[in-house]
Amino acid sequence: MVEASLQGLAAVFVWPNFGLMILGALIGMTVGFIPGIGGNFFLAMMIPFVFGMNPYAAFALLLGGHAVVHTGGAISALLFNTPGTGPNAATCFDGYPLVKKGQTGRAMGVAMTASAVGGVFGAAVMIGVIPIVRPIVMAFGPPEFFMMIMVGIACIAFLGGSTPVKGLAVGALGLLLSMVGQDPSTGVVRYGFGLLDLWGGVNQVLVVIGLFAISEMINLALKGGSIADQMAAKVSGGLTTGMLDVFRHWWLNLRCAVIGVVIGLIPGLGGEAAGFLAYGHAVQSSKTPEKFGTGMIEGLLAPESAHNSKEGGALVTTVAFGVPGSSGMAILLGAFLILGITPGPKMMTEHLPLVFNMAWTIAIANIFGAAVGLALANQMAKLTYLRGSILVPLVLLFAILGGYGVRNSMFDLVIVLFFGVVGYYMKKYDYPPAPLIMGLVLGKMAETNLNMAMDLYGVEFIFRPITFVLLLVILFIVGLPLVKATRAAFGKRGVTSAGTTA
Amino acid sequence: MRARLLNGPTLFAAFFVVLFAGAIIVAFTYNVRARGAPLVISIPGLVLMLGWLATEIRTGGAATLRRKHDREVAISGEGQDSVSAPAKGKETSNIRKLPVPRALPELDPFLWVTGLLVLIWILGFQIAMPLFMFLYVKVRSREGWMLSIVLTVAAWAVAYFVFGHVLRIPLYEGIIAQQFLR
Repeated sequence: MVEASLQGLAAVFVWPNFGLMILGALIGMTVGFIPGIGGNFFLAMMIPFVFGMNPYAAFALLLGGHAVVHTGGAISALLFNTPGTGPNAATCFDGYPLVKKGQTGRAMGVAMTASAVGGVFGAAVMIGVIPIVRPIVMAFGPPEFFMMIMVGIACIAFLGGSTPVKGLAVGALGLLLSMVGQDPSTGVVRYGFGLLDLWGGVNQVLVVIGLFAISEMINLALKGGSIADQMAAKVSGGLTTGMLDVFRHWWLNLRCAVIGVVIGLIPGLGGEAAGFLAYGHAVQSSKTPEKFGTGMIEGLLAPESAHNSKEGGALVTTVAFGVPGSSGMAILLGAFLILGITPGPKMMTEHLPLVFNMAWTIAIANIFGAAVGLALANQMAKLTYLRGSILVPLVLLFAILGGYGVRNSMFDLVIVLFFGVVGYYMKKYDYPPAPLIMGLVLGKMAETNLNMAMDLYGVEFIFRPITFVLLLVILFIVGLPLVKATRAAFGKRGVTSAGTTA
Repeated sequence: MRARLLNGPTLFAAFFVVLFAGAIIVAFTYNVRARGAPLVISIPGLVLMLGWLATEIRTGGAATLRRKHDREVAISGEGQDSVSAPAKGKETSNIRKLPVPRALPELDPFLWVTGLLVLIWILGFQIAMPLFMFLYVKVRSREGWMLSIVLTVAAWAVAYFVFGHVLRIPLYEGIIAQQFLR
């Protein structure tokens, strides 16, 4: 085992594998930076190039890039409120407010370091859990998926900040939006209004681009000035602080990385779910949940750590069982076939050094990606001080191209525009955007899995062991703040009555 | 009374009420199984927003504006452990404020964004993108000729080379090209 691991590590640094990993990571970060394209596009674009390569070189290129796509996506999310990839949407919630405060360096430091730590953790877990993962994966069926998603949805209530009513209503709107399109269980097209473009549903990337990028540019065009409200004293100083912040919040970072790995392990949930569930967990476990959305470090590091650690988990099921853990991994299966390798249990005996090599590639590419991001942070931070007259058209074009790139459809641009206007007013009238995206991402998965669970087990699915434990977790998540609020109210009353008596 | 009803926060809350009510009405046109989930979501949504709408009407939109103010205070840095927070007085004095019309201020950026989509629809990405860039930078923002031209060329280069040739994403050509140039 140790020998195979060392063989895998040595193969990372063999030429041309190392060069291909670096090339892949640079392309992956660039693709991630451009909104609307994402990791799947990167893999699809790169797979034709691996014909004739040896497996080590091929996976250096593919995994080197795929591992850091979200790291690149975090940069555009932070700087322009335009997430490069779907999972980076959660990065905007607290990352962008931090940039607006002029703390771009610190935000970059947190995002890059948390991504690297998450990615390395995911790779480490990949190595550790392969021998024991089978029962875990097999234990998860539609009822467990449904309840796990409900854990995320339960967190929506905490994303409303000082106005939970608005948070819940916006979350409900997100859930409702997730129901647009053909219902998988009945075939009925819901809220399609006769438009063929809505049959496939509303793509969350379009909503994210509209809600964050377009609305922010409308706002910037109105108020003038630049993205960062204030000039940062020294960007590089913030960078170090940001890196240290990640280690200051190491426990949250670790928990979110675990969330990412678990989401990755479970086929069918994606990077979006990882980012949002981790963000929801950060809010729910915080002592000051009302401050989220205003530039909380925890709100930035949670999704960054989770969606990078997810890749290690997703690769486990792909390699060990031939079951892709995510859509990206499904594309990666194509590369396995091109290279003449059959993923599955035999990988653990016949190609063990290659499996370790994959894990090492993910870990090293993540560190490299973060280093590139940190090295460019000072230069990139200057973009946030560009005046609006230049930045607004640049970002608008960037966002519109990203929106179009999702499905090459002009109708999608109308969706982007609609959510741009809605997002502007949501911001103006203090409606939190995070619950809408969370509802949209998790809603469809929840309904599909609920229908399957009901068909398979009826209402009794609630009493399956893992499902029941997750139900208790939901009750805890929802109940804890109520208990806290009641205690606080009683405490206040006690103080008041004591004061009156005195 | 008119001021209590016709203010932004109240109208936006009413927009949500209309959305949820519409979703409920439309859901009843589906079969029982398909309508279940939308109703489970939109009925509580409607109840919540009706409650909030009542609050907005009662306070004339002040409920939202007060909370928004509190939130802006939070974003401006108070209560944060901002180690690298900027020094006061270092605000960007060199930043040029854009000329913004006073009446219906949102209309101006809304029209620009909508105009971009209309331009793309008519002329396609490869013409609309540089044209929009030039119009925005030169006409709206009154920047210098050199900057306007450089950014215009850059916008065209991104559309043509990066998306068209490197990434090979087929960009929409516009109705004129589709109707007359084929």
